[in-house]
Amino acid sequence: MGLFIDQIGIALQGTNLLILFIATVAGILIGATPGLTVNMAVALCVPLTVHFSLAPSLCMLFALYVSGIYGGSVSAILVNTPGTPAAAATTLDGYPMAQQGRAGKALHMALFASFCGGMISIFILVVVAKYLANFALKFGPAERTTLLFFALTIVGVLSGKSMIKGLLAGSLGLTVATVGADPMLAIPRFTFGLLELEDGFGYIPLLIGLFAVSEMFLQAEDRMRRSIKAVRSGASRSAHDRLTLADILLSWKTIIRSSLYGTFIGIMPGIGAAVACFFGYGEAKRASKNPDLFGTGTVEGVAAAEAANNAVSGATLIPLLSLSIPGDTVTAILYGALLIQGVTTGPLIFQNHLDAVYLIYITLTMANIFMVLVAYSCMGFFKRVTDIPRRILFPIIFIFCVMGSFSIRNSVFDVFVMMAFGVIGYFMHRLTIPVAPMLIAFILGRPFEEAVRQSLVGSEGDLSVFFVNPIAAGFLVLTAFSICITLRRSFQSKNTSK
Amino acid sequence: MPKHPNFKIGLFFLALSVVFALFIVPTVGEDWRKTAGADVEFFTVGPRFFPYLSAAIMAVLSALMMIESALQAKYGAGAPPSTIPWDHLKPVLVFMTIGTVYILSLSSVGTLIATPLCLIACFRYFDLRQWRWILLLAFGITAMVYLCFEKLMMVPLPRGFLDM
Repeated sequence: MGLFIDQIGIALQGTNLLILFIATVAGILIGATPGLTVNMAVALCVPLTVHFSLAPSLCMLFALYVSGIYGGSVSAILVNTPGTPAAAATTLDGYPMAQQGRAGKALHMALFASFCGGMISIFILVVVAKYLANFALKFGPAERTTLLFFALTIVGVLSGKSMIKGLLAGSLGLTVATVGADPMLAIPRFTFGLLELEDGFGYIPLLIGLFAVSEMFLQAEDRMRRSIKAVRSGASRSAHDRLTLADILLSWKTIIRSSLYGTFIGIMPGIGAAVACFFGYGEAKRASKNPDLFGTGTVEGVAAAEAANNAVSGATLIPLLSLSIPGDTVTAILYGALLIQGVTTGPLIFQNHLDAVYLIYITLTMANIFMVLVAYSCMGFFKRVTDIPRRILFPIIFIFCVMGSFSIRNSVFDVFVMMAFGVIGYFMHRLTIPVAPMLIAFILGRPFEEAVRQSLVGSEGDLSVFFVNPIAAGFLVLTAFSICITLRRSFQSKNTSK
Repeated sequence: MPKHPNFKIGLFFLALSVVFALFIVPTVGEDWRKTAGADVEFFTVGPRFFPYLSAAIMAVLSALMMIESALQAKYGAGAPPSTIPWDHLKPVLVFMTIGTVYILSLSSVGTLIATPLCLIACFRYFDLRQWRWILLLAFGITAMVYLCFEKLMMVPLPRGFLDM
């Protein structure tokens, strides 16, 4: 206990608080800028940690990580442009809320849910890190296949009014994901001799194209003559734009459920926050009494996506600390930063570097608290974005989208990819084909292919590998159950509309 | 031929899946399944497996969509055909053109020159009239982009002929 209190004292030193503040502001700004990723920011700051001791290094990196994930939701809500892939699901309800003049409510709910998600995952990290990491170790290719297959059923939930259209968009996403070097044998597929396609299409250009650029094309139809926000009378506007206790009571179950899903996804190496946000959103819609409200601007939708994606931040540290397995790019960078500080992760960290473990818990918690303080004080400024006329705002955002897509690999090719998917997204919107299923299928496509092929190679083509294994079979049962619920809801919704 | 728009969407995706499966997937060198090795035989799933799988899923879903829309057309259900009026599509095409020209010019002209020109073109087309604001925003945003990406995030933005 004495050691823990000592570490709190170290973390609360003035320099560390200043670093936390600066990194939180930078994280929110970077997260909110399309194309500037949390990974990029954390990677750029790692060299700085060489000059710092452990506490300020952790303060800086965690503040960037946590606030960067939240920052993605700001632009997702205000201008339908997810700053990070983790905020893609937030656009589904956040942007409609902004259009209805309820941007403030959406931003507050995103902040509240992000904080809750982050804190719940830290709690789980502290209490059950060792056991959960051991459970995650039992996941072989067959278990991963069925888990990812379960995650793919979200495509059906995200399909909106026409499930076939959503599934078609999902199949298009799976097809697009096959471009690039094959994940097992590294044989180039559909690259047509272009070196830029060897790694496939990038997430960020595709995401920006499908969500942000396509939205700009839609807004261009009337030559951007209005502001984003619908005009409301003063009284109703303020009442609509506040986060109330009723909203929190409506969403608390969703927040806890999504935080647990996010934590679970975060423990699995290589899946990440982008999948977690859709998973949380999809499951919240499936469990909701009013699933038809999802996608039209409901606080529950924002809460589900944001709680899930921020819950990943604590959870990805579980396999890192316990087993030395980085769950995503940021934790891989954090792993390097810890090594620079002379801290070796793995089971022995709890014996050899208990001070570092405590410091990680404390600084991660402080990063979440600072995120709330900084974001809350900036909320008024954020909300004003929706007052800017679209004819000014969207050309500026377009420039940032171009630069953001370029900056991922310093490639103009990626900018063309962004533009091409913007055009595809525009026509999909016009033909009422949802774009979210395409994105989630694209994100899950490669890991799913890898897991399926590894499973089949391991079993020499025997499909029973997915049914014999208890965890895999459990996920298949869950998948069947969730498909049944989705189909039932879909038929009920059709009958009601008739 | 049913007039329901979803039928055409289904037909498009069906054609896409067929073209993909018959003409594009076979360009990948290895078959979806192979047994190889001089003395030892091993089973593997090749790189064509998943593209074929995704094409098959797309084809089945497209067929289902066509059947559904044919039934809707027969019984008069479903959404009416939707078209994009030309006066709506024209500004979109103009915006797409400005964007494409901007991206094309990045490598040759450079970010610092192409960005303000692109912004000025967009602002003017979307009816922002005051030149003072147009110029202030165009050059201000360009400076912000330069500082944020090039200086702060150390991204080497395209410099075009300025690099020479």
